Amino acid sequence: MKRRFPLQRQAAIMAFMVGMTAVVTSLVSGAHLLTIEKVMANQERQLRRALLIAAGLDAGAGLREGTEERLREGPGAGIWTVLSDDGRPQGYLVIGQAPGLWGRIRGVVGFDAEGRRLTGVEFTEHNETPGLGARIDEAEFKRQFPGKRPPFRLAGEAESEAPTDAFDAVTGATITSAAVRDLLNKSAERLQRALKGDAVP
Amino acid sequence: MSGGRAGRIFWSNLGRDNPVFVQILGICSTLAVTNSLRNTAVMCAGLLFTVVCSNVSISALRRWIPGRVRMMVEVLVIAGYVILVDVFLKAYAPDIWRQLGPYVGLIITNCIIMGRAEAFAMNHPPGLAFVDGLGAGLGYSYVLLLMAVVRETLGYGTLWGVPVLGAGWVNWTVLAMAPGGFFVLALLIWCIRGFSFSRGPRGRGVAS
Repeated sequence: MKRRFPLQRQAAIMAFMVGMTAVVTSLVSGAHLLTIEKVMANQERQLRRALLIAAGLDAGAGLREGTEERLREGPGAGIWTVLSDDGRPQGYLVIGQAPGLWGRIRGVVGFDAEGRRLTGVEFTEHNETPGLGARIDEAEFKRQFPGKRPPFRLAGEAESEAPTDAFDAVTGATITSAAVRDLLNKSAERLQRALKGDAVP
Repeated sequence: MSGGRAGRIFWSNLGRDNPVFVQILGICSTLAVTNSLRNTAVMCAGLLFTVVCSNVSISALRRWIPGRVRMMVEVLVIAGYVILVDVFLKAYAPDIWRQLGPYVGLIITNCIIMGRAEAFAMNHPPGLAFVDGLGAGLGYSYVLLLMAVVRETLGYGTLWGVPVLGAGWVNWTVLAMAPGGFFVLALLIWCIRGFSFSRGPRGRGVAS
């Protein structure tokens, strides 16, 4: 049998490759389109939950009726106001971000009405190393934040009882811990700027 | 004949030709995720799904895949399945998806899957490729789960996130960190090889 013309052969190979790519790409895109609503809903629910946790309103199991209605967007982009029962601001939530070791760390930082004291911190997105940097997302790490006052620094080794402006870093994850510190400090500054701008009606 | 052959293929993947402790493949993920049993279980399920599906698909297509671009086709098929796993986890298990982070995507580069596709699926029928993929996936999984039990228990004092060793336990943090993965894997390989290969040569013996 005569050997096929090389160009024809190459064209066949390319056609096969293009066809395979088209098939696989459409399968993957199809799966993405089928789940996109679910994914968006997940992200929305995750953000809501993070807001409530950072505000100190989510005690875990039982959310009180109407708690969600106490969140208002503003003042400023990426900042939420927590209203008390009589409709006055009882705290603020700042959606902050900072570059971590592997990627962006995003989180909700909750402050009291003056923006001088933390009510809680909850991370919504990070790609830190599992077992090391990813431990910032564990309850044990996040539990130390309520009550702390900005500007923050990482607690020194000799400080067994961390003062109110310092928090314990995650051992073996210094870069991640510093990123969390930056995230908190930037959020505090943003809130202060927004509150000052807001004070003049 | 096919039954006995399929059985041999399946069992050799679990023992004599085990992808992890004999062929030493897929070590990156072995070291990375085994400090938590839950993450390991999800990782193993993802890998099992991918290796079985890619083996069967590539085996079914093997007569049409041009020899020159076979690796591109293999990677394409594998990547497609891995993205399906990623999308599925993102939609239905967002918390686990968040924890595993980049590791799900890295299943694409797991040498076991590519190895089985290239070495087995390209020249065997889909039925046998299915058995081979299942064997390789399970052979990988049980070793990883074993390591995860050791590392999570000693490293964190927990199992599947539940404390098991009591409050007095001092965590062996080194086992939870990357070097701990090397230690546990090395000890495991040493024990298994010492136990199973020391009684004289056995056919093909230890992998080269």
